[in-house]
Amino acid sequence: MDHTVHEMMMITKAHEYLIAIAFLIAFSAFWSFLFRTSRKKHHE
Amino acid sequence: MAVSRRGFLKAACATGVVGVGATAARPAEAAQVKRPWMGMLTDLSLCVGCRKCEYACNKANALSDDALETYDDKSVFEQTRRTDADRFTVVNRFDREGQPPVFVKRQCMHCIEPACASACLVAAFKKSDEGPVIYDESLCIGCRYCMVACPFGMPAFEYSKPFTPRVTKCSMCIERLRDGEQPACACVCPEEAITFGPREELLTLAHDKIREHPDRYVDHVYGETEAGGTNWMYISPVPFGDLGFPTDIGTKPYPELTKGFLSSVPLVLTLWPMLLMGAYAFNNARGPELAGAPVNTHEEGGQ
Amino acid sequence: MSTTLHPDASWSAWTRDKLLLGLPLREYLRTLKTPFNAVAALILCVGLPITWIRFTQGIAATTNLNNDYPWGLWIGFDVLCGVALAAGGFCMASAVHLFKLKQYYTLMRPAILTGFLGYFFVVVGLCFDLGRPWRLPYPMFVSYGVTSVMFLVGWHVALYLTVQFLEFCPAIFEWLGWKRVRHWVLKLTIGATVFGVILSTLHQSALGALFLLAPTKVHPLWYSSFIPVLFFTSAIAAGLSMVIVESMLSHRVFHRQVQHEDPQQVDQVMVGLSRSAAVVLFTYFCLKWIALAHEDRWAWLFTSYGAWYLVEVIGFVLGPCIAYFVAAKVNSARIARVAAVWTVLGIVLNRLNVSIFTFNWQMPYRYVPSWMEFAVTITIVTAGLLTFRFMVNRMPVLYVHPEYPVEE
Repeated sequence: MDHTVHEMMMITKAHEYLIAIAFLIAFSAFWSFLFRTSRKKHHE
Repeated sequence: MAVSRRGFLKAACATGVVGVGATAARPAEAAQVKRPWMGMLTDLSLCVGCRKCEYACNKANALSDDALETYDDKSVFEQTRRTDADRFTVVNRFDREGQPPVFVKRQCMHCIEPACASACLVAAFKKSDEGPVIYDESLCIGCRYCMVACPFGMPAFEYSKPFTPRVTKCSMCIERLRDGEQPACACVCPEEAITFGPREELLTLAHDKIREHPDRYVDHVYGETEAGGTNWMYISPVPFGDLGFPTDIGTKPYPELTKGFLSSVPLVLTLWPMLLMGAYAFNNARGPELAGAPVNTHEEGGQ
Repeated sequence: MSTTLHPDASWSAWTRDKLLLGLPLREYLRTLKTPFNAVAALILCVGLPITWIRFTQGIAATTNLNNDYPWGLWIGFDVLCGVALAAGGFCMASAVHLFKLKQYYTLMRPAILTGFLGYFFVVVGLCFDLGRPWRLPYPMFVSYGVTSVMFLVGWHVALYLTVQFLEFCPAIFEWLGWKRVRHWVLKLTIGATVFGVILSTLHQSALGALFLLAPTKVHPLWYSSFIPVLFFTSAIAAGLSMVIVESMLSHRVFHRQVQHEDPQQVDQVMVGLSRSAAVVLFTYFCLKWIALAHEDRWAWLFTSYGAWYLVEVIGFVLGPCIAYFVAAKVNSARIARVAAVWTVLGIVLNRLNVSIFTFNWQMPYRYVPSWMEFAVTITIVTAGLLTFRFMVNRMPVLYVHPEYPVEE
């Protein structure tokens, strides 16, 4: 624990935001794939 | 409609609670980080109000060409002055009944946990390895949030410059420090009221002075714990509250104040898609007549 | 109004059709001679020279801002109130698209347009206030102050502006007759709506969270670690109320465009909105007291600031809440409209209380905006209204375009 609160936050926040944004993109892909298949099956 | 609103609010409240909880989870009194930081100690019992430090500061920062004699003008003490775009340090006089007045030199406190750095959206403020909090004007967009955040009210802004306004404040003469010199004000002080040195040593010196002369000082080193501790510290013959120092800022490092809220940001980014898309899928399934395409209720409505 | 654009149509025909409301230039100019336009022109005649002074002489030449009061009217009103009052866009978009409340469909487009223009002019106002506005993209591309709440505000407002533009794009493409692009944009609707709600949640609350760093400057009654939640909740109330206010004004100003609507049905929708607004305001009212309890600030209620606090919370939160309640109970769109205006005033009062009226409450002197600051604010609002009118008169905002029926 040799970091100040501010220094620590500069690191952790950057990581958190990057992961969250990556998740958002992944989520939209995940969701659309998940529901696209189910709808296709339904139409067939 | 009511259902949707309630869902929103419930979620919003949950975020708030999570945020607040996160702040409370880490004790505010977390041990101060110790580094070989340089600092300053101003002994207000020694200051005679000669304003030579103002002169040296203005020269060192190229703020004014006024001759040293002009600083003999005592009429400036009629008003309490604050730091400004063209003065990074000011000496104010506080009169006492039946006793000599107290002179107070003010400037940036160089916080260990700088509120300005925590506030800056382009990271223009930085705690340097030497100890001073330094400002990079090449990044600044001039939003002045640092000035809103600073509990000591020290940063100023060049409001009259239309194209290159900067935030201005004392840099503890960082360039001089890097050249192995002392800050200009510490060099010039004829009463040795300003001591430059490693912060830890200054802290020991301050407590020694208070212990040896309990009649001369109030038992408080201002800056030891204020807002998480500062690199510029003060000892004084009168309570700091009487000398215009803010006494209501507490000991919590300022970055802690927004930490809880910032923790809620990735949570909202990850939870909201699930909740909102869930609501969408649910409502889509519930009212297929509203949707364009036929919907498989069985699969999309699954909660 | 002709709606199709022939490929061989000449440029002047296009101009007349799309920009001049189908009138010859001279006739179009004649229609501009109205009292409203005269007042607007007068305002712009004052505002534009001041804009020139601001950007050539600096902030000091135009404002009363100083080192003790770094933020004034432009942040307190143009930004804080502007963003809160533009919340109607995300409220209506989520009501229609996510919660499938189709009765609000006609209100959604004007709400999204208000939201988009609201944010756009917030950024314009911000450019007046920033020392170096041309560095506005710095937090996105140059240097990342990730610990800053302002960093979030910057990113979210920029992204949300984009999202709202996308959400409004169908109307623009219907106006231009670009069917294929419109179809493509429509596919993004749900994603854009969800992303818009996320961004709104975060930046509406972040605007309150900005003040978390000023615990000694914001008055204890208004300073709270709950301030992000308070700002977000009140923004929903403000957004819903602005939708009602807007519909009220639209029916006066653009009555030709809404004549197909059944007034009784419109009133019914207003009453429906009052129900939601009443619930939101009631929740906000409770949160206000929980915030007080959380910080243990009860004793402050018995000071003069306490009286002012009660004026805000009783007079401008509970008051309009009850008005909305009554409007819903007695089925009165008229009371709903009164309550809406009342709420808008209340939220504006709250934002100004936090950022201006009680800010630096321990300072011996107060900041009062200069007349030029007011003039710039009025100019920006006027520019917003003119743009709104320009778009509403040309694009299918208040009515459904006959060639593009509602697909949902």
